[in-house]
Amino acid sequence: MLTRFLLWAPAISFLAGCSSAYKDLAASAKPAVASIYSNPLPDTSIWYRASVDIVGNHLSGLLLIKSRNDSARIVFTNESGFKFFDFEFGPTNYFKKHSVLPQMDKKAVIRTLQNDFLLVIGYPFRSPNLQYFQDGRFQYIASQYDNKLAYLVYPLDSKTIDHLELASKRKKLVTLTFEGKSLQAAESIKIEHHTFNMQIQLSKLKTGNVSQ
Amino acid sequence: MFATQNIFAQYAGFKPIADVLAFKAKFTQESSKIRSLSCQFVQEKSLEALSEKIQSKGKFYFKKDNKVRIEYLKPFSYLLVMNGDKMLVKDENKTNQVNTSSNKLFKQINRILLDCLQGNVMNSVDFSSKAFESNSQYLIELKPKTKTLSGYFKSILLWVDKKDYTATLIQFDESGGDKTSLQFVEKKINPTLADTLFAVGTSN
Repeated sequence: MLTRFLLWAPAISFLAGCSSAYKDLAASAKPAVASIYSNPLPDTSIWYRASVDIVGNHLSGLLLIKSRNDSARIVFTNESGFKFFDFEFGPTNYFKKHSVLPQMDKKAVIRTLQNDFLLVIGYPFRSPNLQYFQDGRFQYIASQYDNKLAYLVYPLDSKTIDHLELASKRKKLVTLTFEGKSLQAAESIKIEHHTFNMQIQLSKLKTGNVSQ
Repeated sequence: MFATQNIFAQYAGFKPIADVLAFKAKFTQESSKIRSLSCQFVQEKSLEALSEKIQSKGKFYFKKDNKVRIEYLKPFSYLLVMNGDKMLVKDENKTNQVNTSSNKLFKQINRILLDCLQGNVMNSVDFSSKAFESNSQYLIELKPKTKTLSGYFKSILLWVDKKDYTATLIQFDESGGDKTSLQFVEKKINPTLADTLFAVGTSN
């Protein structure tokens, strides 16, 4: 059911309308805004409480984002320790699927998760070919990847980010909001898909000795 | 000679039990006296390749037959209730009822936990087992025989207190090298536990 929906998602997004959500964007100069990513990645290990709602299914568990030597591992387990997936990301499009639950091991599912977490890690915004736009309300830093455009969206009058978007040429596909100065060490992250019903919510856990 | 040394090296302080059949019978008989159990638990998930560990703790309740309530309290809250073929899971956002009879893997994991607690684990057709002992504990090593289970677990180890035949630690060793352990502490044997603790309605 889940896989069938993800396979159809691009077609649904195309049929949803031909008027572009980005038609009012005009090219602009590079905006003077605060970066939300460190380059290279900071050496961190952060555990999040994770909740994933996808086409009527609810998964909850713990998600680890561990960065070392500019690569990142993302591991999602349920509360009892049973692993859903373990992915490795590196710069220059490196991606390795270390393990994935057989029911989730479908190309469309993996690609969707890969694109979502690339926004969190931030590799696409290292591109030397970033584009800059603005409309009446926001200024945008855009990067092209996987035939899509990823946008960092800042209010016109602020250096602080408002949210991120992932879009096709015409349609907004994903909105990502977060709390914290850096997305790579955020207190909480919310990823919402617009072309099918999927939402990922992460909130940082206070880990360590639990005996107190 | 070499085999014996390997076994000692694998489980330090433990030696193989000579009369396994007698131990099986005794384990089943003593476990049958445990009608209910309440305790605290500490769970540790180790991701070996990443040198990462995460600990969680909470309350654990067991009541015959086939009723388990695992209540995670730190560093997150999560409730898991198993009652026969029914299961209830509740996180911060949502309560879900799961019928384990429609999910083979859930059912098997559910069965392992209950068999460990009810002393039947050495009779399970899903595992081959070996038993060891130290001065204070028994150690049961379970190796999955079915393809589904061996895809997830290399072995499951169960430490049992010699005094009361209750589980002190269960360790799941995954095929990829990661481990999850559940340590049981502050055990109360045969406390009165209300059936409402094991209700799988969504009002928990």
